Amino acid sequence: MSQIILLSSDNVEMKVDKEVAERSILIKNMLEDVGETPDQAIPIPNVNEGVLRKVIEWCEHHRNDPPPPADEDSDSRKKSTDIEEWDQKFMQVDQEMLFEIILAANYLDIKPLLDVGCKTVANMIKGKSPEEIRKTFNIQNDFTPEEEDQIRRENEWAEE
Amino acid sequence: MASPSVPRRRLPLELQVQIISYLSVEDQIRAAEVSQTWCRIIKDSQSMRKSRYSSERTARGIHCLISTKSECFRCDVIDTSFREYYFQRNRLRNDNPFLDEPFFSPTAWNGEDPKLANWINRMEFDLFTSVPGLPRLTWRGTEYWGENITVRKFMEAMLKPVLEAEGGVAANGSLTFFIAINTIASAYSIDFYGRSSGNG
Repeated sequence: MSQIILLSSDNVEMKVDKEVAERSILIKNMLEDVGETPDQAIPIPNVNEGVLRKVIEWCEHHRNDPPPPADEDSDSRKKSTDIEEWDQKFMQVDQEMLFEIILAANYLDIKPLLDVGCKTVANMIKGKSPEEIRKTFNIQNDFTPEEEDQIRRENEWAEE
Repeated sequence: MASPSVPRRRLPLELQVQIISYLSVEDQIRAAEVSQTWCRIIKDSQSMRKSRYSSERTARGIHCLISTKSECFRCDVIDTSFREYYFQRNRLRNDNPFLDEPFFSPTAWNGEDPKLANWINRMEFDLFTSVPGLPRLTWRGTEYWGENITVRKFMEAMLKPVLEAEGGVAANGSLTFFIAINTIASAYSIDFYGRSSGNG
């Protein structure tokens, strides 16, 4: 089994099976362009050691997964926030790490991992108030204060 | 001190869009009030817009604000002219994009799903009210409202006969929707619950 070396943003080298690393389309394309297995480390400048280890762990587990269906039917994925058990456990990390994994999956072009990450976040949002969602995503509330104030007042009234 | 769970990094908009695309209709409604950007994403996304129309056999093609089961959508009337819309006990902003979306799925009329148009026009809608002297109103498909009625205008159309019959009394009341399943075609029962007018 041929192996390659990945170099994290904080300069840590990690040896992985080529097949595992090729879950990343970015790396796969890179290796195809090179044409042969490189003996030098492949730098992954956007991903630090901790996150890269997590991503590799996911790729190891899913190394034999069939490729995802080519046609991305938006209807079929609608509402399907089901996540398989192993992935659910895998995603039980703090939110900082969860976002880092999502960003890494996006950068490395690992679509199934990106999907699982986004679904995990979507599940976190379930039932949350707009204010709680804003905190989760670090989003500024750009609705005018008057509107907000009015809504709060009316909510208080409604809860009587 | 910053909460340790709040991430330092923000997800780029494209990923926020993907996350939002997984939200159920109920969560979309809350999420639309997060920010104007989120509101726009939810409002404009083609696939999300499609997801807001029921695919269930009995309510096919009807906007989810109304077709979602068990009395989720409510309209309170205050002083006859003022409307407050609620979904699952959350008050909606008056400019919530969901209120001004078509009541029927546009795919029925734009040639995408001609069968749906057929289906909708066979649907029966009933208005039941507790208002004395107001008869039960029944109509089929789009005959009363046309194809392009919005959710808000639908609510107004429902309120009109009730308000007319009740006069000033109905000035304080709420309109609650729920689905009654009919074996032949889907039927909507629309109940009007008068509420104590002593809320002033």
